[in-house]
Amino acid sequence: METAFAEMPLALFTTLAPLGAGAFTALAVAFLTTSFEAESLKKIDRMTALPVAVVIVGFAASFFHLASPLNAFGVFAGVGTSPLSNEILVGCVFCVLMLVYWVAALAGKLSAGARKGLAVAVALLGLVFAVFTGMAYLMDTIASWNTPAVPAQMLGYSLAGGMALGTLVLGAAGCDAELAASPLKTAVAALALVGAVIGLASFALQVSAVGALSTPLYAGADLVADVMGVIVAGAVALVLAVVCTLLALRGKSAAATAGVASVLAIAGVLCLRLAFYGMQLSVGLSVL
Amino acid sequence: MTQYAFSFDGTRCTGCKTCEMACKDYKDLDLGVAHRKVYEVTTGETKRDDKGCFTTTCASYPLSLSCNHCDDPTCVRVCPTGAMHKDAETGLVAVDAGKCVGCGYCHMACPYNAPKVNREKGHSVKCDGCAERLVSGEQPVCVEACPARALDFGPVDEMRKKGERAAIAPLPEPSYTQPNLYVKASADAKPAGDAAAKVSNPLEVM
Amino acid sequence: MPDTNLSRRTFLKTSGALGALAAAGGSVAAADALFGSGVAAAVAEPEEKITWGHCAINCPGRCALKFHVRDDEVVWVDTCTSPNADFDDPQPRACLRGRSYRRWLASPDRLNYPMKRVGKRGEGKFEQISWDEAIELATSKLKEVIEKYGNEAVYVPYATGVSATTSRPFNRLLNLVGGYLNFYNSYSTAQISCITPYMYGSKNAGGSSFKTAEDAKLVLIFGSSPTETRQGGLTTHYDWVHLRERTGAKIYMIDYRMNDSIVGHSDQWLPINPGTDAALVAGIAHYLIEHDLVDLDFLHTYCVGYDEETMPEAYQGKNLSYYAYIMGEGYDKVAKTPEWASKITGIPVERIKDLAEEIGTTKPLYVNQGWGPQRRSNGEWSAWAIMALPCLVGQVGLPGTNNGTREDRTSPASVSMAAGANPVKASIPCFLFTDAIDHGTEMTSKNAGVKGVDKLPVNIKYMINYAGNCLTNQHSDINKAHDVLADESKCEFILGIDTVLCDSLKYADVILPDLFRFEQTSQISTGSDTGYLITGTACTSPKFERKSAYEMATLMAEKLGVAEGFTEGKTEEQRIKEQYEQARAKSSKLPTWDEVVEMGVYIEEHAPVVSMAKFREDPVANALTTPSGKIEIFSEKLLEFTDGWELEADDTLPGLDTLPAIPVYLPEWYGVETTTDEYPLLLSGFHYRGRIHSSWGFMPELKEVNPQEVWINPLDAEPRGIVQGDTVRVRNEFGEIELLAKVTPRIVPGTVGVSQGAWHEADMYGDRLDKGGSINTLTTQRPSPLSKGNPQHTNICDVAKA
Repeated sequence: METAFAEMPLALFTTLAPLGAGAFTALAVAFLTTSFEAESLKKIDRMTALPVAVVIVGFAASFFHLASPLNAFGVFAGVGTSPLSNEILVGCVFCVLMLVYWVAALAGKLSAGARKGLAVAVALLGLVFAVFTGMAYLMDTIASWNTPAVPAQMLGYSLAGGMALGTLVLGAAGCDAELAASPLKTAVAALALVGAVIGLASFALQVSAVGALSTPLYAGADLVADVMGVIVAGAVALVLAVVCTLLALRGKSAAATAGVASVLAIAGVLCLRLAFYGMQLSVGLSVL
Repeated sequence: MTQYAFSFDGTRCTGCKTCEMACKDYKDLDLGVAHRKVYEVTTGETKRDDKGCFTTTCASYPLSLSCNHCDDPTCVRVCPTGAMHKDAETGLVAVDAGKCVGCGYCHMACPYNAPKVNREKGHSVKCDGCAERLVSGEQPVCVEACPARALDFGPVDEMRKKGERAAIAPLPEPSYTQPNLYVKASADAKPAGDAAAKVSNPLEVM
Repeated sequence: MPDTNLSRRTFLKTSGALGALAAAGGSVAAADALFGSGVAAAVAEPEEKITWGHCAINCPGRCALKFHVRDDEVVWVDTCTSPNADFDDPQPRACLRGRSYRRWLASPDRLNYPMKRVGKRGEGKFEQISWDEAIELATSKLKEVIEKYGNEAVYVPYATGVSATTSRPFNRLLNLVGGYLNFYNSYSTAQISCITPYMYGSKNAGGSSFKTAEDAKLVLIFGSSPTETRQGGLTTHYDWVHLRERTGAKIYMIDYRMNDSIVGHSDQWLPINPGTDAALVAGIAHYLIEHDLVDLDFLHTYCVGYDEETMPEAYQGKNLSYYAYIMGEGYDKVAKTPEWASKITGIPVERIKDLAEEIGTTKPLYVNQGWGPQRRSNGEWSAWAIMALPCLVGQVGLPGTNNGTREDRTSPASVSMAAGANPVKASIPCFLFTDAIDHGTEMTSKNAGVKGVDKLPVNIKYMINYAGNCLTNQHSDINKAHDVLADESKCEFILGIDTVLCDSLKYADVILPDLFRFEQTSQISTGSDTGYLITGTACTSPKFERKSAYEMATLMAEKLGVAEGFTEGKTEEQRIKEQYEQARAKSSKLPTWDEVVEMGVYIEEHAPVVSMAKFREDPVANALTTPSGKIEIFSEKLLEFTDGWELEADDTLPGLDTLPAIPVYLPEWYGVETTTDEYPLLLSGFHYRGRIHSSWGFMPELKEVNPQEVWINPLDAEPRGIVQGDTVRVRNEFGEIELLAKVTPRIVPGTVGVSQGAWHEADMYGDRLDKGGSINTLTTQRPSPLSKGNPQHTNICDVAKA
């Protein structure tokens, strides 16, 4: 677990940034399915500060992982070869688009059509970013990470957590009634469930594969045993987060319930991310 | 370009760690950092039967390992800033401290445990093949230090004559990165990937 | 820190050319010639100075150290090496410890000022004093002790932290003020050094070179790890690796541990219970006799005591020969069959028989032993038995053979500073110095091996411990040693001199801060297959208030009024030079002084030595210096010398009232046949690469990659719930240590191994738990019967998770 906690800045980054990004999928769905009052839209746009903040805090956390953050501007040099560069590039494009959307929305410069179009673009890019966050760990020399289950779980976490956070935005904007109405309710619930299933199933797949691996330095089974407590805690929290999201979608005190869901989602995914770093198993001698 | 390579003679090495400490002195490395490490692999059993007699299948061998300045270095591949680079003339892999962001990807990706982020220094550190010694006609300090003459360094064509491309445990298959390490294996050596061939001195190589 | 900020352009340019050169088949060494000094100047800092020096610690390596110095500080330590050295080119390369000297030189633990003790002995509390006060304290107390008790109360304990041609100034000083109690023996070789003269005489009995074994067909090494015991320089690490590659011989390494000299070649390991080498030899002897494989011609021509035919007259017809012992006709009347030997040694019967058959039929046979088998309670006889083995098959004195002792070591001629004559004749075994402090006046020639006098007239009251850690750490039963030393009414004054505060130094009343030999002019001659001589000059100026031992002794001599006699008007450097000229008078090969200083390292190649070749050629003209002039497998002299000695029952064979006069197997006091329910495991020591004895034992850089561990077989670890890396405690009647577990099949079941020399680390006024893991917390002070030597590998214990 020591190794895992040493990667806390990375764990925070890969928890918060994709989760915040996922919230924009909820918003896009809301805009596509529901017509909001102008006043509601204003509130929604103000409350969008929440996912924006989560994304930014996530990126900020990543800097604590770096030994020389001042050199960070050089990270695009590896675009095309370094999966990390690719991830950061996609992340940056997403951030820019997210901020453009948000600023434009706050300024009231978005027509209904533009809002929908831009929100869908931000949402899709957010999910692509989540996938790239996972792809950053696909290296042929790290056997325990080199599986499509890794980007899949990032996508899953982004969706599941994003729905909680998106619901919180809408709830905090006073849109309890809109949330409780189909097809928004159904769509958000479905996405949250699908996200949780993808996230947990792909993570479970990865964990079971790691358990069977071993290197000259470590046995995968030992690593898994070491982080099993955190895995269980994380999975339970994520499931509860989805349950709370579903409860919030009933339209009664949505903000409070979705708030709890969001906190649970962040805590749950953070646990799963920490466990992920605790399961680094090289094809050779990389020392944890 | 002339690719440079290390060779390691497993029939001579006794695991004394002079290479490691000579490097640490020359490169002035602190506690917790070593650019060359010596791994011990021990397999088999030494048992005592009901008559009190010993039978043994124990085999044990050391492996001295630094950066292998691979043909296809994964550390270079994953480096986001291009700080980790392969010299165009010698093929030696080195860190450009001015570019390195200290993200640790090279450390995670390298299957030879070579690069490591030194947070005090703010960048990755690793064996650079003593490039400055090479220029003045000297060998890397580890090679010249070896009391048993188990290490050598030179153009890859020469080193290739001294052994097989590194494929003994605890190393991974060479196919991942094409390491420029050529090994003359001892009789005790086990092939890469041998499930029983664990690192038996983990405390000494962390 | 070397300059690595070479411009990329320079590097590309030169390495490009280098590449071309290399492609043409040239080695990198040739680059020097190609680039000339211009490149070198671009690389090296202009103000860098290079000096030669030598390691001076107790390993015969005493390697060449090449100091790179900038602004009066050492920046890194190179050695005698070159980029293009061939496997056959001899180079005294420093080991990992020599390569770590810069850290020791600049260690925060280094002693900088004279100090006096302010706490209790062993507590380690000191305060800085002036040189004047320190010298005054040391000399006034010396005068007082000499006046009150006599010079026999003054002692310079066994200490091996510094070796050079001028490294014994305190003995010279003391001889000028009436002398001091002598010691004999060493902690390294007490038992084998004692027994070898009985068998082979005291001259011309050394072993064959390792190189000689290149011609052998079978090589047997008992209890030795040449790569670990002599790691650096041109000593046995290199010689062994070289031999192993060059010889066509089959090699067996007989050891309880698959030591580092075996790794990679595990088929050479023959695991054995520690302390049972003589039983293995006896079992082999039985097979050889049964199968008519002994060389009777050799035994009857060159040896005494093999069978009745060559027994000394007074002992004939009594079944006291070696043959009678082996065949069960005398002594314990037990036939030493391979079956008998198997039960004791743990070696399967068939393996013993096969080995015996190989020994009986393979020539040349090279039998060699390290000093592990002899550092035991039965060590004299174990060493003797191993030496007897090649005699049984006549494999002594011929090309490719050895006489069963350790390999030969050569070195260029050298002369050491004369210590002068010691007016005191009394001498004690060095291992018994704590007894001589505690109850010296009870020690006699019959009960404690006192020599020169029948009994000691006085207890030790004053000691000068120069560069030694044998007061506690490297002595035995540290807890008992502490009790003796901590009592200030016993030894009244201890002067300690060292570079760091080792455990023994904590018992000093006054401490003087020493310089390393490479912080001054120094010379040493050493070697193994190849000899070499290193002449060093000061790498930096003396820092803080440190002084050389010669200066310290001079200051003391001034206070004692013998300065003129001590220095004879010469500085240490003048002495070294003068002694070197004396050595040159003996050996015309040696270069001039100016040349030898310039070259730093002088290497002298020697032809391989074949042990006792002249004796083999003509045993009459070249008779040995034993009483019979022959190899004595039965020693009448031993019986005469030990006549009337006070022995304990388990010092000899049951039923025997003398010490055995032939190389028998004696069960150990704490051995495979004498473990107990409380202490079911054997415990043996070994040399470890991270230290030589206790030197370097404090250095974090070395400890980090050479952790202090107890080796334990999985079969012993599992029932105790111990896994690799656990913190465990090893305990016996003498004390308890705490260290890490190395769970490994590289050690036989039933025995655990703890490397000797770890720094003792215990609250001696508290629980005394030694968290440093020094094996000598667990060793006995009971001396081996004949030599009165340290049986430090003879221990039993139990191990548990901490």
